Amino acid sequence: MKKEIINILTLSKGRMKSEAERVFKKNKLKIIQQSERSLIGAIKGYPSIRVLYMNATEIIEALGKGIGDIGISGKDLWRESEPSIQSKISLAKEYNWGKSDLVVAVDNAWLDCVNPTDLEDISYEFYQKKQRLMRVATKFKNLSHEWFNSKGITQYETITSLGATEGSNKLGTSDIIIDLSSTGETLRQNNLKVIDTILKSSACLFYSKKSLKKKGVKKIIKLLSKD
Amino acid sequence: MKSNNLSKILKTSGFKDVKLDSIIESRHILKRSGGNFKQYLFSFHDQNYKDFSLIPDLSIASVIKFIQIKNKKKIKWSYSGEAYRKQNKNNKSPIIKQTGFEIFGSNTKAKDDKEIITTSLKIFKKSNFKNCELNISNIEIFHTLVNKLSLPLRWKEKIKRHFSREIYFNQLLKKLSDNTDINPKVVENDKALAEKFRKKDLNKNYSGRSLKDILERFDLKNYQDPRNLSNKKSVKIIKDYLKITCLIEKAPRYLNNFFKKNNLNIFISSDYFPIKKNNIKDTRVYFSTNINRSVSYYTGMTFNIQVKVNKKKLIFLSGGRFDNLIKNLGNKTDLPAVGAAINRSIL
Repeated sequence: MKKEIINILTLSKGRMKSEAERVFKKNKLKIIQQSERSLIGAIKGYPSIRVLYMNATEIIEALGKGIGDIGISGKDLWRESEPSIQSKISLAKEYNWGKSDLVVAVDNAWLDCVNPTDLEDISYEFYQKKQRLMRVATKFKNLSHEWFNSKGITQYETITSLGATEGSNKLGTSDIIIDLSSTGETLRQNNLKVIDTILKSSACLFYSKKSLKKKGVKKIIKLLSKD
Repeated sequence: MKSNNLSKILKTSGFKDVKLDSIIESRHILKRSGGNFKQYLFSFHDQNYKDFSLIPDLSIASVIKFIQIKNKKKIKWSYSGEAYRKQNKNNKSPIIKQTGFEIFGSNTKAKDDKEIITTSLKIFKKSNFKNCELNISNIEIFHTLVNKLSLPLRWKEKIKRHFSREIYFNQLLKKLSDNTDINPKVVENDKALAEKFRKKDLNKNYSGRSLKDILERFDLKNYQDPRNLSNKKSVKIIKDYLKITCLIEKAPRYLNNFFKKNNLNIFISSDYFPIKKNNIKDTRVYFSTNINRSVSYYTGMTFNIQVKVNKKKLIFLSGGRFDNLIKNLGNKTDLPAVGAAINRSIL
């Protein structure tokens, strides 16, 4: 086995960043950064390890392309990534934090819609009465297509929504939404109700399948899997 | 069997060879062909952001070509080429080599159905395979059965609509027989809420739907045409029907007995079957209710020719009647059609 640099990719912002750092700390892996804003760090006592701070989506892509060896990101982002990326990454550990559900939500006033079977009928109603497809606001296009396909729903189109998706029905840009929800409060405030949960997501430890050949990778995965 | 031989058989049977385009506007497939192909499409857009896809199925491309030439008379043509689909298995090629032949404007249904089947058998005879099995079915019989069952109307439509998606179809039958997806508490709450909503402005829109439409569907689902316990019996009849396989000569009697046993007022005459004898030379002919399930656009007779390769049954060729597809893909009027296609990799 070759002795090479091991790149660990971790989250660069927010509450998830502190949670990830807590995992390192708990397992006696002390991250050293030149400054708080520096996006590259090292681990005390492990000269062959480099810590790179990145955006959660970029972490998945970088692992898939072999740029990183180990990474912390969301299960939702991994499952949403392209099959060519997804197949090159393995999940080592699902943490008990960063939890959220990817849900299908419709307007509270849609009293006749309580499950996906109803939604299928309604999608036909859009086509028959409005001569258009039912519009779905989401940033999770792949997972959405997969879900619609499994529920036999074909009469829909996805509208890309990168933020404030819960508000897109009110703005008239969509008819239903597929988005992440952790407490359900934002959905409630926007008069939306959940009719199905596509995925239960949380922060996860991933590794690039290729990187298992690198010396020391398995040991770090084992350490970071303890939470 | 070489492609040249295949073309020769089709030419001598009166099918004119046509060349199909390799790309197609995505909307033709996404909006009208049932969405089944959505997951398999290789799509892209041009500089004007018009979405195109590589052809995932030559039958659809052939119908679109037919619509473009604006022909209203009966026409027989054949095509040969490549279709492209994303595969979920690594070792499977995304290129599917297909040859197909079709009769558009097929108003003489029985005659044309028979012609497509006999042409298919001619192709088989020229192949390297020695034995085959010809299976014939008819979606119309299935639709008639579903219409006669005691089920809510919207569920009848759903079952017919999803016949081609076997996994989801079975999920629907399960839901219908056990009603586990209905939470009585939620239903009661919604009924109370509905009464409040009735006092509001019925023309007001809620996420793209008017309150009138919402309440109409709510009432239909909960008061006028709800699911009930007799659904379980209907589901059993559907499942039993889909197990029927018999020699073609016996099919009318077998089916009529089945419908009589289940107290359904349906009579099937032998006219439903383009082939009426159990043997065509050395080919056994069966009636089988559960064939060609994956194609969503068949409307009447469907058939396939099965061969054995290493003790496994494989589809050599399959086809059927698609009387609604031409209109669904953009033609102003309905134009009946029947055709078949062969996946050339089996040759």
